[in-house]
Amino acid sequence: MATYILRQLFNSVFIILGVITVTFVLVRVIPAGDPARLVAGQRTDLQTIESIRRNWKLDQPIYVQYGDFLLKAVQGDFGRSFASNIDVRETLLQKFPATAILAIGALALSSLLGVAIGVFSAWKPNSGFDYLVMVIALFGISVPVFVLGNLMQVAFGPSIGLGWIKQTQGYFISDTGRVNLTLLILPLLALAARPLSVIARITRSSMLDVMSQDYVRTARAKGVSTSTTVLKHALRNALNPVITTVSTWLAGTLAGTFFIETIFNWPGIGRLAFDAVTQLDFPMIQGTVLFTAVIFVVVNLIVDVAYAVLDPKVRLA
Amino acid sequence: MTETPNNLPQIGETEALKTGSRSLWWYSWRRLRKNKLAMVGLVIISLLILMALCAPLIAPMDPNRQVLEYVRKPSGFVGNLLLKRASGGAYKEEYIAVKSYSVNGDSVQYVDELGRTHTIAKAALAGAGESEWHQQPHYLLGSDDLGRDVLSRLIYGAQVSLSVGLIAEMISLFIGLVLGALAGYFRGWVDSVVMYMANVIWSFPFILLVIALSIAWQSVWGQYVIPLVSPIWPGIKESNAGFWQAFIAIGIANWVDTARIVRGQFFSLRETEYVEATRALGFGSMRTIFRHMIPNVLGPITVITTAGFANAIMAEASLAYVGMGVQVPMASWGQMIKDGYGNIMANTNWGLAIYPSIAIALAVFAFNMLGDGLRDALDPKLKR
Repeated sequence: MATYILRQLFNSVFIILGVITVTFVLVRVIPAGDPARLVAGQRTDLQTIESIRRNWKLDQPIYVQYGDFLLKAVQGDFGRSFASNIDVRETLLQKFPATAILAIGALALSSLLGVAIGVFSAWKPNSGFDYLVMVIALFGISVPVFVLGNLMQVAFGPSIGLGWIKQTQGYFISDTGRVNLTLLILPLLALAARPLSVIARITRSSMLDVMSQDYVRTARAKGVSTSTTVLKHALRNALNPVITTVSTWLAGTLAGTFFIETIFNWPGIGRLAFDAVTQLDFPMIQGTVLFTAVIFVVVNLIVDVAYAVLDPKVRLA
Repeated sequence: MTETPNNLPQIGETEALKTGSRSLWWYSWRRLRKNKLAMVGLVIISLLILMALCAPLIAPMDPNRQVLEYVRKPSGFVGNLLLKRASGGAYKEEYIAVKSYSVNGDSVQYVDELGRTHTIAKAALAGAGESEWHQQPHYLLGSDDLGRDVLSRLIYGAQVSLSVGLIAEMISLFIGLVLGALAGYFRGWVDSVVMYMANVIWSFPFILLVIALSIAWQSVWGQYVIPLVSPIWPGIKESNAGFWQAFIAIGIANWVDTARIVRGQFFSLRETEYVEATRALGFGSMRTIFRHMIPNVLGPITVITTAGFANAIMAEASLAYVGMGVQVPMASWGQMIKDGYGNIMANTNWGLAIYPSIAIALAVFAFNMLGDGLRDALDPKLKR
């Protein structure tokens, strides 16, 4: 067990190293000519360019630059934002909780609801309910998050009049510290739609697989009731692929916040990244990319280890 | 298999011809045809392809032609335009938006949108008769912020979405197929390296990686591609980078799924007898992989490619939505959503953002439905 965890930990560190290297190559090595000039973009005053050059050690050989980049990235030092001149790390840490609430909420909602829907669909396969739900799920997969966000804004906006979900301006947590839950509803639903659809479909097909197995038939033959067979015997064994899907969808949800936070004015990492991209604020882009990648790797590590604890077969593989 | 030795009694030859010589694809197509959802998807995709190919024929107007008097007109708006001969510029005629006009012998008197009366000589108008210099274009879906016809832009937008889907998917298919096949066939350190690369790419949020690749591509284009390609194709320009950046970036970011699937398939394929036979016959690895094994994974590859199309279309729209897609003013659905988004916020013409949204959702939906159907049709074991 300990060796398994150690191996996974080593793998994760190695992947993070790869992520940092890819970022370095994309931002420093590939750009032709003077990276400082590219990064500074429209702001071509010599002072900015000079400070970037000094900061990034551009006068030194490339391996020194890489070492410096790596060292700073490991320390979480991404420099200061071009747009706001605030420390990037500080901004990331400050914005992270809002994104975490949204992403975890959406993932929890979609897992619970998705599994429930999938089980109901598999209960009576090819029934009207099954057909309808699966078409809706397919549609849920097909609609890009930002399209769904836009549609929801129209539907719940004043012109159509489904205004009962308040779309007030302002923030989820107000200055006085009061939590405004109504503001969470729309972005949460928009973000959850895609993972929800995927999880419902995976659960359904996994359930159908398990339900056709011999031990389920045996259970039925022994006289175990339908609900007990489905919920106790089948569901437990059907959940494995579902758990894998949920963990890989974390990345999808984090990427989804990029649009959802922008559309719903949610003060998190996604919004930060969106603004950084549109303003070509390079230190901020670097910071958000590395930050989300590391979170993804860490969460995957936790999921892998949890998996191994729960299922001995994984450890031996 | 189709060669029957002549000296054998040819009993049931017709049956053998009917059933024996048919390929997996023939059976799959027969199964696919029965799947209503998949067929709906196929019809939608065919219509979209037709629309993209015939865009110049079916689009009612030039998608980039601006009539600034007709900004943000509602659906069904009918314009009232006089066409004047242009004195140079990109277009042969200038459009004058009028409220009304009357013909007085050799000249035409008209009232413009601001209510001012002007007189213009008939000779200055474009075309011979009134039917040529007077037009009443029908804006079926209204006009956008620059007075362009939304329907025409939607029709032309299909060209961008489908070509991005096609080219980006070809790129990622190529990378994924080669890397996945090598990893699955050789295993060992090759597999470790490929899976490591896949895991690193996988760890980036997809859209942010695509954006970073697009930014990097711009300088690759200027520094390496232009000097290489310009002797062969002198027409290539610095500004063409935008057209290719979406293809390249999405293609490079999107190969991981394909590689994983191909690798998994190869793991089990390499243990089969026929692969062993190629080894016994002394075939080289490359011949075994590309001539014998890859044809046997075409089924799963078809499925993942269809899904990849859907992903690429979505990614292009996302890229355009952030303002990094194809070059403005080229019509693209993602770009149209971005342009129309402000109208949702202002609660005015929200159709401007909704129509292209529906178009994207429909295209992706169609590819997903077809992909689902293909999966069931190509793998009878999964069929219920």
